[in-house]
Amino acid sequence: MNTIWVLFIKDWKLFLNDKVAVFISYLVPAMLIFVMGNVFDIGGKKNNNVGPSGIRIAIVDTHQSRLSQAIVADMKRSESFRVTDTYTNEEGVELPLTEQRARDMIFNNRLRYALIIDEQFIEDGFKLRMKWLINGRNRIETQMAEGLLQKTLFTSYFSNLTQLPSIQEYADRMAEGFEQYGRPLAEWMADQYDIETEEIMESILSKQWLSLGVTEFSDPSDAQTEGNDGEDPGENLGDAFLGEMLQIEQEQVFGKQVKNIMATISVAGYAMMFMLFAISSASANLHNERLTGIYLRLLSSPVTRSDILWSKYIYNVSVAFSQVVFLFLVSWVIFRTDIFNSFGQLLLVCLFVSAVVTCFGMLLAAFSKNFAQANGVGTLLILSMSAVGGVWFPVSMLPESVQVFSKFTITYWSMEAFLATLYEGKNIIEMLPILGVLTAITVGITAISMWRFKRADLF
Amino acid sequence: MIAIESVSKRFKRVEALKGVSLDIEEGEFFGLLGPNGAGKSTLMNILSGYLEADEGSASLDGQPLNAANEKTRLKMGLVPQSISLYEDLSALQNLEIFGKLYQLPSKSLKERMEFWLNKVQLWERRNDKVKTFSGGMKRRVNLVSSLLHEPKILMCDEPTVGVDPQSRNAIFEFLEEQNAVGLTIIYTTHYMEEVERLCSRIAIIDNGEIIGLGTREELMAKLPFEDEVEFAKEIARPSLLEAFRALGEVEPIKEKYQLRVKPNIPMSRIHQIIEDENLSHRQFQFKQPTLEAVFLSMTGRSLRE
Repeated sequence: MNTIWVLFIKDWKLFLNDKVAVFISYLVPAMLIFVMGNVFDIGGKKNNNVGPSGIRIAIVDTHQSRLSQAIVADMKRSESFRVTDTYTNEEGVELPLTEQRARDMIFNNRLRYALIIDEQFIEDGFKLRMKWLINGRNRIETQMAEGLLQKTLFTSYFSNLTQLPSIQEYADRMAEGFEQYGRPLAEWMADQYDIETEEIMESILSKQWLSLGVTEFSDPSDAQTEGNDGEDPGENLGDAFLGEMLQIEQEQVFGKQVKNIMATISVAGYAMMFMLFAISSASANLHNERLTGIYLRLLSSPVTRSDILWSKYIYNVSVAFSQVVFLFLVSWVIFRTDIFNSFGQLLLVCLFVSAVVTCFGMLLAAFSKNFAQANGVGTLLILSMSAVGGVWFPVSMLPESVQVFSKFTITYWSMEAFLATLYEGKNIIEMLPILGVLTAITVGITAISMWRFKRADLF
Repeated sequence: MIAIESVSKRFKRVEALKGVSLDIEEGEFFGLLGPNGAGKSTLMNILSGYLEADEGSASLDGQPLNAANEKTRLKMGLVPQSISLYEDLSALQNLEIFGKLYQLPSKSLKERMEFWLNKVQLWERRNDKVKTFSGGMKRRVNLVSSLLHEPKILMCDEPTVGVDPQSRNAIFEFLEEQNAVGLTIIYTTHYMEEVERLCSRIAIIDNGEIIGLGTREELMAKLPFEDEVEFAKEIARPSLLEAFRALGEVEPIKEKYQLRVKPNIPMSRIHQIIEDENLSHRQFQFKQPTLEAVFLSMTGRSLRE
């Protein structure tokens, strides 16, 4: 037993002496939990509302009725959305959004959803009809957005029911009738209980609305059924009724009708992440080669430090490129993802992404003192970038403050480049801004790494 | 051939080399002897172009020896202290890589690879991965990797570290053979037996400075004594010690005494004293001093402290 104890303590001592191992074992998971917790609001800061915050949507309201305006106001108040309903023209004047402008914004990726409230908004006096324009490149995000939209609209609809012209008309008739028949009753009650007649009239009138059956639908989730099996006709009826009252016509205005977009996005995201791991490790191997003395031999021959770095760079780009292309081919075999529609362009994007991933690995090697440090820091950075850069879940699911950092990650821009090709069908010219960003990142990081490597004490 | 003038190198707070000056002639087997941390490897790294001197210069036939001068680097070969090979590749693959880095034409490279691997008796194992080799075999591949391009000068930085005596001897014979056909060799070590066997001229380095330079005989002549006699403490009577003190220094070393005989004292006087004391000659060990003694007399420390 003593032997086991001694060996047990020895292993703990070795572990605790390895700062990188301790860092990876404790700090990295803790930081990831922090990020994931913020994504899903595990801390409950938003009054137990779990879900994304601030999904950007445009609302175009050309109906401009009291009900439509009330619904727009409720949407703006909702924490789930960041609503845009105006734009600023070239003269600097703020104008209401139009449907065409909303479509343009979706096309330009300035937002992914728009709610159109047009002249056909109210049908048959109480049914609402709206159009929901999407760029559904991320099905998870789209489904979440739709769910939140329905929830918000249902709630808004019922709390603003009185704004419906038909309901108002009904209310007016009810009021007239109640005035005719209820006033005598109210006057008698007032006389008996020494209360003001108007007070009684008001009180009865407000409760009258509740008796219209609004409470039956106040929680639309009660109307959800498990299927039209006829076992619970009341709920089925409610669900059908709700479906009739609120109809949202979805239209994918942008993006190709890709066969398996989720598989495509997943492959792109995970390919990114594994490329980063592979290249970081390969770059960190610079340190191992230095320790074995290989560089001493190489640099005593007609080989310069620049030669070594450039050869490493080209090698790593080729490895990353072959890896990501291989993964896309595998995804085509298994999931039949649409990669051949613009295969040449996809290869070009893979090359750009491989270059930026390689630069990241070289930067890591340049600023680390040894292989273990490079690996440890690399793991933390890669997992963090994957979390905030849209590899695992949409960026819009993150808190606003974290979304700002997304744009500083190479994962974000790499994912944008993949999706622009695979889903949005953009051509090379249209992709120039994204490729420009990737190039700028590559050049910038390469310059910093080269400056760092030129110092003789690194290798 | 190689001129090293006042070369200094500092690593943060450590001054690894302090104004080192040396000349190495063509065809020499030049030894650089010193303890660990003396600056031997630093000097080799500067000569090979891996490091740059902070002060001073080194040149080969008048051409500067530095990283920028490709011509001089083509004339040099470095055998690093560590096994600087790609262990997951075969011996042949390693030689091919290094040969191509020296811009050797393919045909010539193939011939040389075969020649050198045969020379070190590794041709049969040419396709085996280096990581499957013994330490001695790895050292041999390490050595011939630096000879593929037929340099004029070979710098060997402690090439026998961790090698068994048989392999070590084989390396010595190999280097002696190469030196005999004209290869200039600079050999660093902290084993004085190695330089005594191999080197025609020796520089002793300690704490970044050259403290002795010359042939073995020239260095030995600097010693204040010519011979050493060791004997056990049990037989060290006061009369014996007094008699020996008249002939040189008597120092206790562990369980023994050591007499360092002054120059020009004939050995017959020592033998006479032994007989006068009625002791057997077998109880005394007569030794020639070594470079270890030279180092000790210059620094007050042994080479292996």
